[in-house]
Amino acid sequence: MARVLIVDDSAFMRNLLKNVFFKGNLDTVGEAADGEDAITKYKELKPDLVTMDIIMPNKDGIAALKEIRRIDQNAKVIMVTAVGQEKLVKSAIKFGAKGYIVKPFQAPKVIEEVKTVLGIDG
Amino acid sequence: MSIDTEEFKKEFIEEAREYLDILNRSIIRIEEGELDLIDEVFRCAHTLKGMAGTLGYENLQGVSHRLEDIFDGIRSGEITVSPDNIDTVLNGVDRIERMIDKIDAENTDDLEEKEREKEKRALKISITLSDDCTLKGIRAYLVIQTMEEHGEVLKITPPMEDIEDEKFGLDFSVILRTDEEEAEIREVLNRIADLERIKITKSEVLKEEERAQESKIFEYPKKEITKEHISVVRVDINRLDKIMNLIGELVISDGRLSQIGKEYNIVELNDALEGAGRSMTELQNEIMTIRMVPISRIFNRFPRMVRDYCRETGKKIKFVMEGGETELDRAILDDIIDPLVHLIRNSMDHGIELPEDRISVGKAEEGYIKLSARRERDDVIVEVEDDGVGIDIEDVRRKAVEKGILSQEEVDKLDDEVAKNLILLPGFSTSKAVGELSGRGVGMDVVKTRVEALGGSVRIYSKKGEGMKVVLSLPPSMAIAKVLIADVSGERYAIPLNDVLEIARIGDVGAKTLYKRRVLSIRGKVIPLILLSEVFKNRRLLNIFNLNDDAGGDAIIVERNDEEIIALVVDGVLDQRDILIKPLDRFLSDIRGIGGMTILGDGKVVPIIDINSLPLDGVSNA
Repeated sequence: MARVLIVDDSAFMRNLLKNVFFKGNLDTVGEAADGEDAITKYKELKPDLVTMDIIMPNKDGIAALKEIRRIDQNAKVIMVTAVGQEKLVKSAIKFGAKGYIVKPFQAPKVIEEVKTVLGIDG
Repeated sequence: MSIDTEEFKKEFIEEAREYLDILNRSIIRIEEGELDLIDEVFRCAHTLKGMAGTLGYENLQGVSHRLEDIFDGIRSGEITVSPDNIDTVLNGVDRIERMIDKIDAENTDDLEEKEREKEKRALKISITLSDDCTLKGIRAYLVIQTMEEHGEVLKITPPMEDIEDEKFGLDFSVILRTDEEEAEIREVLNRIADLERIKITKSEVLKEEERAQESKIFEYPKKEITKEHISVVRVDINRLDKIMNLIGELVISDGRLSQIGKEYNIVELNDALEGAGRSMTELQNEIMTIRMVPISRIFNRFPRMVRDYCRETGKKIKFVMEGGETELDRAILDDIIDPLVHLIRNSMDHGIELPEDRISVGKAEEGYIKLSARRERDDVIVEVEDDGVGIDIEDVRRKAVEKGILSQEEVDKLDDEVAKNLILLPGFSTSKAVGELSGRGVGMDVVKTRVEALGGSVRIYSKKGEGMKVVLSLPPSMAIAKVLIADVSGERYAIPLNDVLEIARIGDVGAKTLYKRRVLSIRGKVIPLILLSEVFKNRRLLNIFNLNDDAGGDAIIVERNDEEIIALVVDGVLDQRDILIKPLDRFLSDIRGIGGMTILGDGKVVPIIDINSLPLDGVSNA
């Protein structure tokens, strides 16, 4: 089962995603509440994929993405975004983000995005 | 580079690749112990060396020469067939292959020259986003950004600004220049969500105005992308031959069916066959057209040959070519290369005099050789003409006696026109010294044999001291011909319609004996007459000389050797049809008057009459 690290400063959003992943047969191996925490957990857990919120305290999502991609150039990071943050998503893509999901979430779209990036069928 | 050289180069490359193919296959078999293949690979290396030398590719010539030496060593037993040695040989072959590639692309065989950046391919990637895609501008951006990691994005449609502003539907496309395979690119795109459809094709030509805009980035080789290149398919000539044979079989089946239709009087069948017949004729014509190649394909090699010859011998020759656009069947084209090489060498060697000799007889210092081709009615005429010494008839007569071809009496009886043709006989050569070029065993007789085997004829025109003209008249294409089927004493013969001028009923025109020769008088013209039944020794002789008005028999008036008109007498003309010509077996091929065989609808084999070799008096050796 693919192992996912959820990074979001909102516990509500983390639980929501965790629930979606559970239903999608994905294993949430860890959660981080800010950029700093995300980098530590990434090194520790070596997940297959990271979902990364962009606006967060203690290092935003883009800074965390850059650092994670520096540590692991094959890291698969999906940005969590909302309408109005297009510019930020674009710069995340430039720094190697493999995809994005848009709040408010639609569960099937989230699963599809993650599985596509991971190369898992269905 | 001129078009001519380009054409010649293509041919060289094509041929070189064939030799490479043989080398690659045979060398491995030699390693496995099939030592008798060594002669074949030696020949390949030798020919490659020769071709490379002729075109001035010295590196290629060098490597081929080295290979030739090794093969020679293996043949003589000095070099063993060890894996190490085979490695060396194969490395050499690989090197030749790279040189050929390089000649093809850059017209140089110098591999040491800085290798140009590997040609990159351009792919057109067309994407359709899924209709529930959110932030589609970002999705498209993700695709484009990802593609940037795998190559150079040359063009985005619609433009990037519109994509960023989401001013597009669900479709956009990217032209990507990349080293990666299509499949790799597809795999990368499969890792991006919300892409409903991914289509990857080789990039088409950018339109002119786009090219102007994109000129700085659009520099990959034309041959990859021009429309022309895409719409032209190269086909192995053997495949066309196969199709040709199949059509031939169809023609035979069609003949068989129409025979059945006639025998049982089935009107519907005959009607249906008429339609089928039309399609078949069209199909034949199409294939014939596909097989046609301009004769310039082989003409283009001659200027170089003449130039090199002049440099070696000090002769001065102005070489002129005409009618290079005349088209001939590819198979015929291949077969007249050697005869033409021989004829031109002949003109250079034995025809054109040295400059001082020309001046002393009042000719221009520079000799003149013209090679020309033209379509004349249904034939292609190829001529080699020179203004050299011409044929010395007396010399020819003397040589014929010397060589034991004819006795002095026989020679004396020959008129000049016939004597001239003695040079076409095997083993005849009038040159005083064996020439550097043409004295190599290919005589005029070979020219004659080759051309006649193709269904053509050779004529010689010459005046002593003024030059010589050899005229080859060739069928533009082969295999299927229109013929008359004639009844000759109960047996059927096919007469090529190509040669036929007119058909007349004997009773209407009148045959008579004039000065012991049988002739036909038609509209005041007297035409020599040949009874095919006599020629082919049929048991039942035609009895037309009773001059009975009811005497059966048709006279088929034909033109012979393009100048002489004769009449062939047959019992009747039965039919006119398309037939497939099957060449005669080797042991039958010298029967005078018979040019081939065909199989008619009822499965019977019928000889095809060769008007030009038909014995005028006397009997065929059939």
